[in-house]
Amino acid sequence: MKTLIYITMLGMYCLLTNSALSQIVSENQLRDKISYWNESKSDIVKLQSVDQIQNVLDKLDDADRAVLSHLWLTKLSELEQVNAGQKHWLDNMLKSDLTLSGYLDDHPEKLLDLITISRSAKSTIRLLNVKHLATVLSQQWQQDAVEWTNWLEPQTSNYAALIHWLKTTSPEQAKRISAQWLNADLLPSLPDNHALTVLLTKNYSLELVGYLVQRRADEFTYQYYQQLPQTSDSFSAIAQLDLALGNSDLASQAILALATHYSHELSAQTLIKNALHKPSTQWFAITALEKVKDEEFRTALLKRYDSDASSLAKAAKKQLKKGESL
Amino acid sequence: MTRFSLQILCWGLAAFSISLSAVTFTYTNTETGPNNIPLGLVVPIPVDSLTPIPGFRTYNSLNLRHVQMTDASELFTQIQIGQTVNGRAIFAYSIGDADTVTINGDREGSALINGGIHAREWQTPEAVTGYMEYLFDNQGDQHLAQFLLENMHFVVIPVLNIDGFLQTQRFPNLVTDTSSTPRDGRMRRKNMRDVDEDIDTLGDNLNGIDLNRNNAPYWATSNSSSNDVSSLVYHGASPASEPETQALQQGATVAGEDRLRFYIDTHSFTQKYFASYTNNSRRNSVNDRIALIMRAANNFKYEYDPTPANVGIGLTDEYFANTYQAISYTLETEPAQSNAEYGGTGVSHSGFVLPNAEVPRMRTETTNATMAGLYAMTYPPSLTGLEIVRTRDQVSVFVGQFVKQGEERVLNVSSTEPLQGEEQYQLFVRFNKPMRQLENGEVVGFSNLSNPIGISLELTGTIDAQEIVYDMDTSQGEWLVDNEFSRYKTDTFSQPFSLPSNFDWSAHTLLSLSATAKDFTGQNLDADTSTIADWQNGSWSDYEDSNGNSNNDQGGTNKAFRLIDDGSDLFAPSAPPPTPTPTPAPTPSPTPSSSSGGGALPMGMLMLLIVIARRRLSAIGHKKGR
Repeated sequence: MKTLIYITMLGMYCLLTNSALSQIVSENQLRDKISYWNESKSDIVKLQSVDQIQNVLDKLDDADRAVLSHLWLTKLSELEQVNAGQKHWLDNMLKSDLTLSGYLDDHPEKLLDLITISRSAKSTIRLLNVKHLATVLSQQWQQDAVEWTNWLEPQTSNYAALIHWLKTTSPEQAKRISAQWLNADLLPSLPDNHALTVLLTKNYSLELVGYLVQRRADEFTYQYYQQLPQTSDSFSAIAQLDLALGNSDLASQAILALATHYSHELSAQTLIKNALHKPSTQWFAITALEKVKDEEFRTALLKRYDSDASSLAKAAKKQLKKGESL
Repeated sequence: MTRFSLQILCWGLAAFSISLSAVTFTYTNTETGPNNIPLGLVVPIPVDSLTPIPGFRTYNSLNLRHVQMTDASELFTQIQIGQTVNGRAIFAYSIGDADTVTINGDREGSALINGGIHAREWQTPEAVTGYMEYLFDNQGDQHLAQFLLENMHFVVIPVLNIDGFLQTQRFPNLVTDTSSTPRDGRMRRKNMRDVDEDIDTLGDNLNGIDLNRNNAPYWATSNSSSNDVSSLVYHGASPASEPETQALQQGATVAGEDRLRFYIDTHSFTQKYFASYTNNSRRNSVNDRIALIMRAANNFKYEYDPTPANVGIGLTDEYFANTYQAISYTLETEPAQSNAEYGGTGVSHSGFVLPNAEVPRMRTETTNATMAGLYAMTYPPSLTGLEIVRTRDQVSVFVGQFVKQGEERVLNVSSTEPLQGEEQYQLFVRFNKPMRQLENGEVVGFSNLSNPIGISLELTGTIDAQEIVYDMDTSQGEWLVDNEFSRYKTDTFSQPFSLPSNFDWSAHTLLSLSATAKDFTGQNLDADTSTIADWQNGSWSDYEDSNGNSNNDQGGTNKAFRLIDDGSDLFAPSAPPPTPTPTPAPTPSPTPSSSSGGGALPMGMLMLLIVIARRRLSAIGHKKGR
């Protein structure tokens, strides 16, 4: 019986505690609260000392405490490093069960966790950790003391730090790193194509692109090729798209890029014509003809299909004519 | 202050506000800063690719992909159903065979599938294009895709709010307004009425109409929409005021308003199916059941939340539920809360930015769910044919098939020989649809709604006015996937059986097959094959249960195939049960023992049946193995 009473009391305590720590606000209320702290009380958000901020937090209701804690956590995440007091406070926040829930205007029937302090603290710690590790990596690299395999474990802070750091390197540094990786035969050990594509964006190397297209295409490969017109000159872009045509997963993207951006180049026209002949790519190539801007090339293709009554030729003519009116 | 000077002041203020630049924030992976919003994951940028990728495609390439499917398949047709506010053509894709009847010659239903109504919900054009790609890639699969294409008419609108979608894709990592309640750029929701395409101008970035608050019958009736132009949920000046909303309604016309039975509008996020009840309780029950099926496709990770009748907030699913009594949903794709579910920072609104790597799985899951729902709504499962083959010489001793005649189906029996005791037979039970899911060519269960066998069969007879049951062990049978199925893999169940040594054909006055089975989504058989089930005014007509009731959309056990027919009503009360006796499988034994009494009458009836059946057959032709 006693045990039952204890369990009931514990249950009631949990219920009361949770209801006290989980506040419900509307999207507008949240917005107003954030504006209030960010604009009217920005001096408080800018406080550096844990004691000062905690002094303010202690006087607030749960909703405002959640908002201000979240804003201060965001601010901490922007620092390069935190002091001991801030670190201790962050660790405490990891254990917080303070949550701000609400119904977004566009999702009126689903209660969402808008701010969860423990999660915000976790994110802040992670972001700080990535920056710290990136600094460590940078120092190791300058001392020529990097053990690369330590940084290639997928979905770890180390790998995130590697990417973070690579994005900050200069083209010359990226070139050196590429050479080191090639010499050490590290490319097969890469967990995905993220690091490779960041390096390529910094320092184009046809040799590295060759490696990239031989690997299984992932989100980073597609995103890299999507940015090619902004990151490469026509000559090198067409050379890279030529390589991509050898990877069946990348073929449609490559053909579309050739037709959209480079159809005025003879080398691109040759690649498009080849794709039109190849059974595995001809439908992609025909569809992409709508994007061909070069008048002479379009006319030549129309002429070629003129006497052809096949469904492929019919579709090609339709797409070429659509392109005329664009 | 004069009126003129007041006007000048207003113009001045307007000019000042327009000249101000909106504060923009940048979504980043791990980079922090005053105007950065770290997602903790790679920020997707749209990619020009016709083929599906781990990520999101540009509107341009999605559109080209739709065109390519249209050019490469006669089953796909592009139809312009309207224009956006900015004059862009809105396309629907009519998908399915050219006729308006099922393979059995019955009225074919239609489904309207909408995507991209809210600009920032990039998951939705990918999900809906995924449905199209599934049907395109599997059009000759002799299974689910082919079944759907031959027996349902689809009208698919992959992107309704094209202007808004393009605006979000112009700024894949930029948003305006606050970091906690972002609005324009990547986080635009509404259409582009009175909005320019420049993210930096302040005066207009909150404008536009929420197309999913712009619909009758509950337009402007709730606090969940607003008459404030700058509100995220501004409902517009009147119901269907927006050309995009009008285009969606035109989609119903293309689908065939009298045939429309299924509508789904794909959104993100919160991982839920929303629905709207109407005052039609049978429709609501079917709506619940189809939601269960779609949820089962993904092990119930999606919730279901129907709204009571007579209330709403102006959603498109409310419009189609109430206007057409169609089964109707708003699907909110994953995540349930935020991108923290994938390891991201969980920052506000991050649920709208599904990580690239999750997109292929999301496409597959939403496709599986929607196809399962459509499969269930195509028509209820029913028996269509029965064949009994004597194993030793492969002679068909009974071949029966239901064939449409006018507004009903009649049983054509093309051959009958009396069954013998201790003879080995193979029974082929044929259905009107694929009955089981396949995975890598193997028959599999579908969540908790069906298992790989899921059928019970028995021969039910009457001797001396007493019922007798010859049970069959269906674990010895199989759904056919390699050959001998009728039209679709798993539309035929093959079952070996033999009858006991004392079986006496001539002693029976009635002998029929009793089949209890569910299709892979758990729907029972139509108990009466002769009447043709159809979707009418929000419920199934002529979908009978085991007692012949057609007013509950439940189905039941089918006993329509009679090897010996005494002419009794299909749903007449059963003969009194015999003294309880075991019916061992696989070799059944009859009880009580047969007697010779009454044998002459059934034999005479049988001969008469054969003569009638043969006459019908010569006129209609044998349909086996279509």
